[in-house]
Amino acid sequence: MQSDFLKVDNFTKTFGKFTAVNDVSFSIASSEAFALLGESGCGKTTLLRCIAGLETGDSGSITVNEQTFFENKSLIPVHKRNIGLVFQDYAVFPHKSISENIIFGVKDKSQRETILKKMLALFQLDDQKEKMPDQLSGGQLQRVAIARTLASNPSLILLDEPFSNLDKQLGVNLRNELKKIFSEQKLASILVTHDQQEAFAYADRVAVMKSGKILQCDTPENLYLNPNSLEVAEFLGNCQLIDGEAQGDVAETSFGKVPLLKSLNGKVKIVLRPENLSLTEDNSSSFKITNSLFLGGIRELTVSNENLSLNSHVASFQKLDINTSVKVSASCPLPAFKV
Amino acid sequence: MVAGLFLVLLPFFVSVRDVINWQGSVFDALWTKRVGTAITGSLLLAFCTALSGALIGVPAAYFLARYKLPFSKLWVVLFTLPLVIPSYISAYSYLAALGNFGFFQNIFGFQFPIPMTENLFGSWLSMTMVNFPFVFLMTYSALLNLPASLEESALSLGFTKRQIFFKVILPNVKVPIISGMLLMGLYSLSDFGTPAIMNYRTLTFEIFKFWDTGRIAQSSIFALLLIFIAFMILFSESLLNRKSHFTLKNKNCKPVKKESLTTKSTSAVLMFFSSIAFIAIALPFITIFYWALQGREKFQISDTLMSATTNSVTLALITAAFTLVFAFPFAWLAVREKGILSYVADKVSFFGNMIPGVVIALALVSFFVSFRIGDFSLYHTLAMPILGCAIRFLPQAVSSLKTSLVQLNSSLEEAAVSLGKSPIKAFNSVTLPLIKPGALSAFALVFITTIKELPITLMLSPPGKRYMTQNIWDYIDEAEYSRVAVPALMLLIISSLSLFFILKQNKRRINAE
Repeated sequence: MQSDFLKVDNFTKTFGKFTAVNDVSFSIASSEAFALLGESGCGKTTLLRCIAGLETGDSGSITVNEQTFFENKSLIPVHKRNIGLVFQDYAVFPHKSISENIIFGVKDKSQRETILKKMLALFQLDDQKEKMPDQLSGGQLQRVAIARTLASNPSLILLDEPFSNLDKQLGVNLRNELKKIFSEQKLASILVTHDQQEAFAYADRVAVMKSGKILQCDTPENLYLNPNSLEVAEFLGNCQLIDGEAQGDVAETSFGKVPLLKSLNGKVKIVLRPENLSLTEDNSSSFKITNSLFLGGIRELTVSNENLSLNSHVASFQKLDINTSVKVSASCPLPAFKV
Repeated sequence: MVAGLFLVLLPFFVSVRDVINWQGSVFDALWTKRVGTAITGSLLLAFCTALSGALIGVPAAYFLARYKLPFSKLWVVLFTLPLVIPSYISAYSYLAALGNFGFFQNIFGFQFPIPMTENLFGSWLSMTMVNFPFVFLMTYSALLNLPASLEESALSLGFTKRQIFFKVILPNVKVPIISGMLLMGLYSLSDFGTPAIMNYRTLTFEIFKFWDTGRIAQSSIFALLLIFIAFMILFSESLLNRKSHFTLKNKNCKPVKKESLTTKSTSAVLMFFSSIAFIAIALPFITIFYWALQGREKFQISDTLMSATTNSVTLALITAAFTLVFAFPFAWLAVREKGILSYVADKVSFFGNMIPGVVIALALVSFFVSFRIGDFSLYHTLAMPILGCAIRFLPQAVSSLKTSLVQLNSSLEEAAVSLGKSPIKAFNSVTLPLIKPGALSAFALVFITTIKELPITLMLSPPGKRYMTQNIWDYIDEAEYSRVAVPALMLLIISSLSLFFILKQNKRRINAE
């Protein structure tokens, strides 16, 4: 496995006065599934389009498979980069049948039949091959678009929010299917998404982007459990910030001592996610259960005293009545950041 | 609604009746050289115009929609502007520029190498320049609506810009291009002024000539032929639109980003643009101004001109009001109801566009010359041109009203009714105010097009009444270039206003979608 199959170095892209991508560096390995995660306008799509060659950057470099695509200027035009692109709006050619769409990018005519058969089977499109795009559903169209991309044998696949126009379950199924297909074919891919769950489920590594910068690039687990900044922790959601006074591996908070992931000293903000908060019945505690929401698999309980209100996720069979007094504690070492 | 339908279909039935009642042999009448020449002339003009229109309109639209060019907005306006020039004024201006003793000859001292009259060239040039905006506008808006991702994915699949143009862009804008060409063909086919001025034999010209010499039946045979060809064109257009796969609309699709061209290519494109703009706009306007200056000593605001203007304005005002009354039920049924009535109402514009002005005029003469209720006859009254123009411009009014009705959600009225208003009150207090702008612009559109309408005013004017178009026509007929110029300029100014309404309608249609 080539560790820096795609290498982006100090890459910057501006639109007039607006800096869309700001001095970004990262690399991905061959056959790695990678995701760029961020809110709309954070520069993730622009970065993707720059890698594809649809936009030209200002400075820095982009190298794929030891071939330099960009170094302060575009060295290789889009149509020679051999990079697969999948769009949110499918971009299936409306004037061509499904089969014609799939083999559109296959230059070697003798290969067309074989590749078409393979793609139709791989994406379960055999029954649709004669149809025109306007006869297919969104989910099927996106399969066609991905089959078309794969058929042209790209070295890297870029997916720009490919599931966001699909129904939720359909998107989840297609995502899992793609992950499997790409890993079997040992293909590197980059998924651009604003959906944290989607990024986590799809990618081996995820880069969190904000205002044109990559805040952190790591495995989903590390990102979630050990964010490198408050910003990342807050972006990844379900974040309750508690004030505390750190002394090494523990911090003193208004509800007692909590263990910390890293050793710190002084005033800190502690990231307490609902699933890390454990509750035990205790009549002497000032915390009481003030609200209980049944959410199916889990139950969200709100515990409050006069100063603080916290959410806790417990298994849904665990039933605690409103107004029960409970003791609050952290169930694992927590990330914390100096104020 | 029934009366409206009767009016729209009247020309067709009258033509059929006249042919059936005729004593002579229809077959013999059809099998003459004159028919052959006229059909060939019409079809050749329609075909060549559509083709040259596409050769100008498609590249112009492509470059403006896909590349960064200086003054791009100005070019779009310039390539739309020819629509405001009435075809007979355009024909006159080319004749007065390049014809015998024209502007060109006066300045350069020798004749323009290609004769303008009695051959295809003059009519073709004028019809192309007036009508190419149809292809341009349809292609341009189709190109702007094409999602960027189509071209971008073809790029990423390894295709060059040139390959993408032919493999992706062209097939996807094929339908609007061909629609635009068919429309151009249809207008060239049904235009009367241009071939008449250029003395080029087409079906419309022959209809007029037969009518002029009192041979109504022969004229009707030509009229039916013309209707048949027009029907075929419109029919193929609707088939084409039904078969197209151009329905993959997506709310999230991004428009294509324009690219820069090299300096060399930019200058080549600008050269092309300027030559088109020069021939289509500058030349006609310069010519008209030139002749206006030449004739300024002879020109005086005569009583005839004044009374012709008053007559034209009166006619247009009455016609616009009358047409609107007829148009409303059609538009309402087409938008709000379902079933056979709605279908018929929706198709009315189809039939309306099919029947050229000369045919309408001919049919009305033929029908009302003998039709009378008691002693009362409409023949030779103001009602004739009003009816003629109403038939001709009903489709325009209907489609203008339809756009505003489509935008008007029926739940608004339902809300008003649920709040306790009676249906009539709901209509008056909610529907009417909301469709007022659409109705006003329909009124204005019919007003302007009536003022410009040539064959109907020419053939149906009551004795003693003269209209602006007739004044222009007579002077052109007498080859008095300089005396045409001033009334022509006046008409141009009036019809420029129609561009405003066309653009307004387009904008609303886009918003409605």
